[in-house]
Amino acid sequence: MIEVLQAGFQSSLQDAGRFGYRSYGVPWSGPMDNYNAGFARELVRNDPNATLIEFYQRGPELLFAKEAIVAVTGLYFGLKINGESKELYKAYRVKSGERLEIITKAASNFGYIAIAGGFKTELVLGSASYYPGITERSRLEKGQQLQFHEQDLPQIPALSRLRSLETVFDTSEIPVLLGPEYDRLSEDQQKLLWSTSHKLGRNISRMGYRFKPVPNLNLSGILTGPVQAGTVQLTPGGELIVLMRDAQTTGGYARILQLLPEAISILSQQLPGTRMKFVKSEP
Amino acid sequence: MSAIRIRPFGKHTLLIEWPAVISPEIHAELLAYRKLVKLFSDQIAETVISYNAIALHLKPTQSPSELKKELEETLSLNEVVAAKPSVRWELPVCYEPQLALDLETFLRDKQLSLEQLIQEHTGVDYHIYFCGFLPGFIYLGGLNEELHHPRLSNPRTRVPAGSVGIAGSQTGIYPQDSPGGWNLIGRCPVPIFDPSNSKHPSPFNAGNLLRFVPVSYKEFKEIEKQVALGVYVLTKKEIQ
Repeated sequence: MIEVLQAGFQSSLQDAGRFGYRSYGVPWSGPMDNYNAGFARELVRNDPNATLIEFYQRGPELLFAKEAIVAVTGLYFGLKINGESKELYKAYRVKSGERLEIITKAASNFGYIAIAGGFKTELVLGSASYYPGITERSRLEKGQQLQFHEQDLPQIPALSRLRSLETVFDTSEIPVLLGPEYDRLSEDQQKLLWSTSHKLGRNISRMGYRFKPVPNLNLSGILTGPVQAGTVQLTPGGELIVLMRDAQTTGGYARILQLLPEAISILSQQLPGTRMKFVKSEP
Repeated sequence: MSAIRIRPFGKHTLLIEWPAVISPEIHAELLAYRKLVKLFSDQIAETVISYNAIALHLKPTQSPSELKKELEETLSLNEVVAAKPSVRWELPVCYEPQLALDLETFLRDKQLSLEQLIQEHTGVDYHIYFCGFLPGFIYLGGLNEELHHPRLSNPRTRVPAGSVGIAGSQTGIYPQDSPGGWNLIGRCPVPIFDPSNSKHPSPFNAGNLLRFVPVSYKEFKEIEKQVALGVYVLTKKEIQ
């Protein structure tokens, strides 16, 4: 068992996602950044649907009442186990009574803590992923007790350190396909869309990332229609909203672009103020 | 059947669209088409519908442009036979100020009496179009024009579950506590979305009809008790 001493910021449990209920208006959820979540799971030899902790900007502090093997991934975070600095992208054995603490070294978005066997929690509509109105909790809370699937702890293999992923995220281009309402943009607006380095605003969450408006780039709304993670909506006020993992299933803004699946993970780790260009990709 | 447009929407999704109007007839065509598409369910992971569109989220190895071709080659649009609604749900709603924060303002703004509001809001069979916005939130069509009203300029940070509201030309029920900017005119004592029921988290299906039935505060409390005891059953009527 593990006690949450500090919850961190917007920390949640996530498995691969909640599938099969979109027609009820239930989003897929799942990790914002599948690269880092995947690495964390691989390091502790978990299967792709095992439940891990996702945190945002500030990580949790955990007290272990049972021995476990853990791995932490994320850009620009630090890790301490019982006060001692450890590396990310590496599996560690944590003993009973030890504390795990995430340090924020520089501004960063999402990080992950995986535990061998995976966290054990109630499945709601087939998934452990936290979502308001679906799971009882929508955030990790101070004092919460976390269970995990105990298993015979394997030896930590010698080659258990993975390369950090910083280079994957060091890009100013987002590969996209054209969205259903792209054709509604005038020729000038289309040029503006591709030529502008769009500035990511402060308003970013698991539901969506908003880019600052660009003068003359806007579209009126549509009759509410299907949307998905990676849909780029253009509002009448000129905001570009990229829908993320917890986005609703339908929306009323013009859907001008659609991110390639891997681009969603890459965008998720970009910081407010970053400038990015959309780049047309082949379908 | 109306003309439809089929095209990929991202790498793993196919979008099928009808003319962009809110119409029970178009929606019935869409539902009939959705039935036919089930022939290809080995390729489809999930289906989302709206007023005039079907999104087919495909399984990872499937290609939307391939499926588009198959749909266009195999499905004859003449086979699409739209059905009339065959089910009507009745949902109790209590129109009392202590349960509906905007009821009094709404009546004043619209120059309506409470009796008129109840009569107009409950005197219609609403068409259930689809679920979206929030888990279990159903988009309803058919709100009497007299009751159309702009949404609040300052949305609330918390609207209680079961609240019945009006925004623009829409009326709806909040399936859970959530932020929201609709004018709250009533409250339904029956939960309309149950995430613990993985078979049928919502009782309603697209294409069903729904009618609000006015109940007193006393009846509201009584129904709440029955719901808590697990003995309340929603009224469902088969219609011709």
